[in-house]
Amino acid sequence: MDSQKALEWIAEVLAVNGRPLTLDDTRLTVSEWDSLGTLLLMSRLQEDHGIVVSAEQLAAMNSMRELCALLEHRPES
Amino acid sequence: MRFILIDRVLELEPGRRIVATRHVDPSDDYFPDHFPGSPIVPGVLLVEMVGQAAALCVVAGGTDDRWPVLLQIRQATFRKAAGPGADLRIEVAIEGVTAATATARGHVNHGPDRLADCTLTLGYLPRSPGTQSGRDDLLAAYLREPSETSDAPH
Repeated sequence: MDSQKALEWIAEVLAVNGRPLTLDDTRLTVSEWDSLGTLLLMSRLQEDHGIVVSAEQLAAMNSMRELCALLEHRPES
Repeated sequence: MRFILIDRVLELEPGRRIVATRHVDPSDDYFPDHFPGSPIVPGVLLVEMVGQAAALCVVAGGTDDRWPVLLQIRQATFRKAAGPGADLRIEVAIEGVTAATATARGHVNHGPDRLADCTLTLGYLPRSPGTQSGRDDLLAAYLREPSETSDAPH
């Protein structure tokens, strides 16, 4: 998955509307990436991509760049 | 008003699948407003029935130290309406589980008619040791009663 598709997937999971996400976005610039968003990401990463991460691992990530790296390093399913 | 929208568990595979029922009491106090002259069960309550059944299933699967709570209605479609006196059947499958969430897909039927289907994401709240609820009673009743429709433990 390339960065653009990863960002689109993240935007859908977090229900970010009105503007596209970028790799430079962080928790501070994406209000939807709160504790609930973290849980939703955790759930959907496993369901949609088979990526298992703990809530603690996900909570330690702060940037879209880190999230996208998770998805980009995953083989296409 | 109590907020337990499941009357009885008919079938249960803990953590995987549940079938439950709900009799819609004609005296439910939302009917005069929803809608005057045309009483129907609100769709949000149908979703809540699926959520409560899913929560029972998750708890029965071994998550009895946390309360499953609704985090997200990922999808919901309301296809037909049911009114006072309807006997509803709620079927739910738990399709995805992580350490902090569960995904449930379910539907509510009235006879052969599909009223609603939805996909929900559940999270958890901490549960104080020793606290009980009507949901525990439903599971206990299921475990006690002989089932006509399943191989449930008696």
